[in-house]
Amino acid sequence: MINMSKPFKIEVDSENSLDSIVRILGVLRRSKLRVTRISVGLHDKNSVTQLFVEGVDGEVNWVRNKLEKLYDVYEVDCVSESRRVGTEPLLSGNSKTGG
Amino acid sequence: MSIKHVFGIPGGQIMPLFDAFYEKEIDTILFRQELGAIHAAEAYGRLTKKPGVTLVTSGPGATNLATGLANAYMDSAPLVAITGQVPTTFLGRDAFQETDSVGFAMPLTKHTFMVKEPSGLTPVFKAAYRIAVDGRAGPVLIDVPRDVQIGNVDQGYCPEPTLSLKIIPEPDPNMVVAIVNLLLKAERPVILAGGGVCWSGATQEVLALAETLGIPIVTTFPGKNCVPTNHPLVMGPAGMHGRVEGDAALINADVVFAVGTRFSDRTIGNFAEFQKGRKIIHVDIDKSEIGKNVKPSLAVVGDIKAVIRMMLQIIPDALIAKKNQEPYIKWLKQIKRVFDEYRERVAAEFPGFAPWKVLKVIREAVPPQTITTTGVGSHQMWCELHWDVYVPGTFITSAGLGTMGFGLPAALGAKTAQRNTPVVNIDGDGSFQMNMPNLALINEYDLPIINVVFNNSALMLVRHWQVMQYNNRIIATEFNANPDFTKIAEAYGIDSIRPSSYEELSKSVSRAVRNNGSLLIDVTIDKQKDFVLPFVPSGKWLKEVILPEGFRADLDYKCD
Repeated sequence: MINMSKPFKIEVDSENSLDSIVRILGVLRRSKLRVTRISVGLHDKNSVTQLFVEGVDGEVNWVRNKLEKLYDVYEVDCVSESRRVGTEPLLSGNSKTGG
Repeated sequence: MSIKHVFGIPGGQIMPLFDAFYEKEIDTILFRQELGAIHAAEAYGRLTKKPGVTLVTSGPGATNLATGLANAYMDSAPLVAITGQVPTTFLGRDAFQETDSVGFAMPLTKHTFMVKEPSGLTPVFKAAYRIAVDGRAGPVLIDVPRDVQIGNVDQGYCPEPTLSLKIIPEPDPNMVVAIVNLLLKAERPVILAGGGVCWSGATQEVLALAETLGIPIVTTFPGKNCVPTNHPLVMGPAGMHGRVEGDAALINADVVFAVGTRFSDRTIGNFAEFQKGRKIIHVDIDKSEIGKNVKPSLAVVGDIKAVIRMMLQIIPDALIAKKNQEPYIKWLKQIKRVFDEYRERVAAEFPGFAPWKVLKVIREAVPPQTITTTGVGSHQMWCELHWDVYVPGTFITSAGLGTMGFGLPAALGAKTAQRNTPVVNIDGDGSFQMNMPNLALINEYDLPIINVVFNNSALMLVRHWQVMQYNNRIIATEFNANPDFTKIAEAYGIDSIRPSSYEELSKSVSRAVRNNGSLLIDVTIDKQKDFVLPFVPSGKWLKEVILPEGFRADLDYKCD
C-alpha cells in the first residue's frame, strides 16, 4: 500500500519570474511522477504554480525537497488529492518579463 | 568578500568587467580554455571554502563552462561564474555569440541570475556569493549583458533580490538520543563518511565518535578526503573500486551511521541489498538527500559537526565500556594487511611500473600536507585504492561527474590558493590531454606543480569495461599516436622525466618538491596489465566484488 500511486497537488509559491517557473518545471521533469495538469498564476509579488501529479509518496517527497532547495521558491505545499484530476494541460496568468 | 583571484578568458561581451580589473588588486588568471578556468576556480573554492570566481564571455565562453558547473554542483563546491552577455537590446535576436546562458545553467547550478539593470550588479553578486556557500555549497551563475556592465549605477538604488536562504536546523535532541541508542545496541556498526564531513569541518568529531565507540570508518570516494587514511579505524573507501576492508565493513554492518553522503551508486552498488538486514542512520545538511537513494531508519537534517558533538555529550560512559569491537576491527585490519602485502608482492612481478607502487613511491616523496588532484580514469581509481590522504581536505578529485581533464586545471587553482604547499596532479594520458594546453600557466603565473601522467596509451577504465563486460571488443579506447609528453613539457619550459625505475621516480619527485619546481613525469604503464581491481560491477552488491588474481578474502565475518 505504501508504494501505491496516488494523485497529489503540489502548490509552489515562488518569485514572480519566468526563471522561477522554469526551475520548478525543471525539477518536475526529472521526477518519476505522472503530470496530469499544471496551473500557473503570476501575481505582482509572487507566482503560484500548481502541479497536479500522480505517483508514490517517496517520489512526491523527492520533488518537494528539491523544490524547497530553490532560492526563488518561498513555500511548497503538498496535498494528497482525494479525487482524480483532469488531464488537460492548463497554463494561465499574465506574465511579466522573465529573468 | 576579499576576492583575490579570478580565473577566466576575456571576450567581446565581458570586456568591460575585465577592464574594471585593470591595475586593481584582483589577479586575473588567463586560461587556455574556459573549462580549465572553471575547474581551477572550483579547486580554489574547495581549498579556501570561499567561492572561486570564473569570468568568461558570452556564447562559447559561457557554454564551455557547462561541464565545470555540473562538476562543481555534483561535488558541492562553492563557485561563482560570471558570464558576459550580448546587450539587452539584442537578447533573443540570435546576436553574435549569444546563447541562453541562464537557461542552460539552471539545472547545473544552485541558482542563476541575469542582471538587467546596472543597479542590480552589486546586490546580485553579493547574493550569488552568499548562495554559493549557503547550506550545501555549490555553483551560481550570473549573466551580465554588456550594456549593464557599462551603465551608470545609481548608488542610492540597489534592490536586494528576495532569496529563500536555507536555514540549517539545530539537531533534534530526541532524534540524536535515538541515534545514540541505536548505535549502542548495534553489534557491528560502521560510520560511512561522505564529502559533507569536510564541508562541515567535522573530521575531528567523526574520529572522536569512532574512537569513543570503537567503530570502523568507511568512506565514499569524496569522503576519502575527509579523514586521514592512516587513522587506525579508517578502513578507506568502499564501492566500485573501493578497498576490500571498506567493502567488508559495510557488508557486515548491522547499523550504518552515514554522514554527509548522498549514497552514490558508486559507493553502494545495489541499494536494495544495502538496506537488507541493516539499519541506516542518515545525517545530512541537505534535506533532499534524505530518503533519495536509501530509506533511513533514523535521519537528521543538520550540520554533521553539531549532531556528532551532541551525540558525544550524551553517550553514557558506562555503556561505552560494554562495547568491544576489537576482534571485528582486528579482522578488518587483517584484510587490509593481507591485501597490502599481496600488492607489494605482485608489484615485484608487474612488468614495468605497477600503478599502486608508483603512488606509494610518490606519496613517500612528498610531504603529508601535499595537495593532490587527479584526472578521471584508471589512475584516479588507483588513487582511490592506494593514495594515502594524511591531511583532510587535500585530495581534490572529480568524484560525482567524473570529468576527464579535471586534474591539471584543478592543480593550478589549488596552487593559486596555497602557493606554499606542494601540489601534485596525478593524471592519465587520456584525461591529461583534455586540458593539456593549460600547462602554459605553470610558468606564466609561477605555479610550480608536479604532473604525473600514468601513460597507458588508452582510455583505460573504459577499455577495462570493454574487456570485462563487452567480451573484449576493444573499440575507440586506444591511442596509437600519443605525443611525447616530455617534449610537450619541454615546449612549455617545464622539466620532465620518463623514469626507468622507482628510485629515479622518487628522486625526481623529491627534487621538485625540495626546489619548489615544476615537473612532468611520464610513467609508462603496461596497458595489458593495468586492470583496476577490486571491481564491483555497476548495480551489483559489494559482495559480488571481483578481486585481483591471486588474492582471496572471505568477506563474511564469522569470529564473534
